[in-house]
Amino acid sequence: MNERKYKIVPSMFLMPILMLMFVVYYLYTVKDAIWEVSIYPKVMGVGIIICLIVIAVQSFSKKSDKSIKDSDDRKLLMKFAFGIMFYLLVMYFFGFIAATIPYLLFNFYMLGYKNFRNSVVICLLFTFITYFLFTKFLFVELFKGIIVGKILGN
Amino acid sequence: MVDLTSVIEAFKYTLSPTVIWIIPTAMLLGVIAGAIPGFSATKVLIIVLPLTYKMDPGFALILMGSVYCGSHIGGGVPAILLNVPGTGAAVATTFDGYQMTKKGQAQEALVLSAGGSSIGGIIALSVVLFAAPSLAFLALSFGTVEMFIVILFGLALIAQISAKNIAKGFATGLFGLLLGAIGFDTMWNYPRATFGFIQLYDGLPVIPVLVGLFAVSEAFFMIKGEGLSGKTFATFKRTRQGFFNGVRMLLRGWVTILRSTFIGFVIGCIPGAGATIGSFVSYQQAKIFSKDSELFGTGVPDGVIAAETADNGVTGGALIPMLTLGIPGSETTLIMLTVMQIHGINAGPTLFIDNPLLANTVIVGMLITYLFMLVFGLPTTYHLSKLTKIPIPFLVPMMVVCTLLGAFVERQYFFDLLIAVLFGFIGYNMRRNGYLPHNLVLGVILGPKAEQYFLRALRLGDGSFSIFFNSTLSIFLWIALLLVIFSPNIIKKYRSK
Repeated sequence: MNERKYKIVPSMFLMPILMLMFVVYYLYTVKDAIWEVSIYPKVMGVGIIICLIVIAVQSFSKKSDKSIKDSDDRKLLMKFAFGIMFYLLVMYFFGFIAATIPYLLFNFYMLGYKNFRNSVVICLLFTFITYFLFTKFLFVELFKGIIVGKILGN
Repeated sequence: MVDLTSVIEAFKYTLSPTVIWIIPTAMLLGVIAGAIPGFSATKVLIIVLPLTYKMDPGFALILMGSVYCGSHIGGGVPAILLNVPGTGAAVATTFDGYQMTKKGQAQEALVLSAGGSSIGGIIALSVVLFAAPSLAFLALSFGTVEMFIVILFGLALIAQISAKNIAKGFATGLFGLLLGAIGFDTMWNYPRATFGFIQLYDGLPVIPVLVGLFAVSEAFFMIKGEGLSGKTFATFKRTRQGFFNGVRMLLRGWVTILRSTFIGFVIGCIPGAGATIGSFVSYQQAKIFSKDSELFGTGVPDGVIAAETADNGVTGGALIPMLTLGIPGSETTLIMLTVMQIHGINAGPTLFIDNPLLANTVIVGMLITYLFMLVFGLPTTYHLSKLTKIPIPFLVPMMVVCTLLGAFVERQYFFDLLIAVLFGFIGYNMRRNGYLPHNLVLGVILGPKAEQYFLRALRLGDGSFSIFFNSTLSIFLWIALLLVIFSPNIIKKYRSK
């Protein structure tokens, strides 16, 4: 039961805490500004704080949150979230193609598709078609990555 | 008075074999541009702009108009199938469109979207064709104060869709408005809440926020549960019956179509208002007038019709200030005006007298684009809806890659990818805990405009709030706004009696 509460509380209060922190930071950045600059954020900030007080009162009066998830889901979601962050990290250094191929392969496998040969074919086709579509057809230069960009000289 | 001869000439020119082929080609380009988040019609038009230098001006403007219409139609497709709005205007489509897909009614929703878009566009453009010069007053009637109130109409939707938990709904909406005010302020260029990032000086980019809140967070919801290997996120019905069901739903929603076209058309006439406000206001009105207003957001056909019809009604309305006054209401119409100037044609009050054929050709070209969509677009909905058959292990990673690319395309900053992922995590947490990401998006999109017009109006009134009640139109709009906010309760009480 305690473990259950331990899981719920941070998730439930994450948004209110995030909103409150942002309001405080925002108002700090306009503390020296003239009224035309600060009036709008101040009104919004006060509005948010009033709403957060109401939410806090409501949350404490309710017994529990319904949105509890089982641990298997949690593990998969965490893996998926870290996968996205790792994908961006690899893309930052090595560019779109080098990051997308392993990212797709890893995710196909993680989400339950075990046929490796098909996965490789689909992921290569998807990556190169997307790359071609964006760079040649839509004239959008996709991210090369800082290392690959240096090697290629731009 | 309408110059019928030039209207007929415009039809003859547009339907000639050397011109007609460009319409489906440009429309398809527009649909693709609209469907990819971040890749707007403006980008396509900028790419094709150099090609138009040597084109016949009528041909060039038909090309531009068709791309413009196509992009408005395309935005709804990923919104319905994947909960990923291709454009800001398609956010309102996700409310009911995606819910219909989850219920196994993807094809019906796509028919409603394509059909509603086409019919809305056709009606609005028909009005423009026969009454453009006499409707120029609409564009001139809306000043700074009136624009501010129109934006408030869009924001009032926050109150409408937050009925289940008003505090959470308003907190999210206000949070969105505050996020929308990140960056330089509009009056003094004072940097606000930028966290020291120069990428935020121009404000929080909308597309990465959209991608994060809708696509990335949706991916998290899709992968929940066990045995994903052959699983799809929605049921696909192996029948062509969906098409006819969709047509039936569309016909039953004729009142919504007419009302939403009117709303979209009027908002399109106001320079700077745009399709996003049009679709939000229209959705809100549909909810107010519906007998099943409490079901909105659970997959109601009228919700899809309202959003999509208004989105395309705007395209007709936007031609009024562009052609009759030479005022571009959006980036897309600005590029169209540029093409006219390149060819030595001045849009404005005399355009319909000096060059009626060209003016009517623009309108007729767009009208035929919508007819093409109605005839050839509707049957393709069956094939599009097959997207729901792709198993989750393939769909989710590919969706993440495609939508992150969409977030990157708009400004081509790596920083925007980080914003998309950050808002993906925020969106997931919000939805898990009963906060509506739609409210946040509404705030982020409309917030900067609301602040800009609010401060501009105050300046015009020397700091006095009485400026907001000076004109007859503004008083009328305030009363209408109050009615919009309070009417759901009044209607509810009236019906319960």
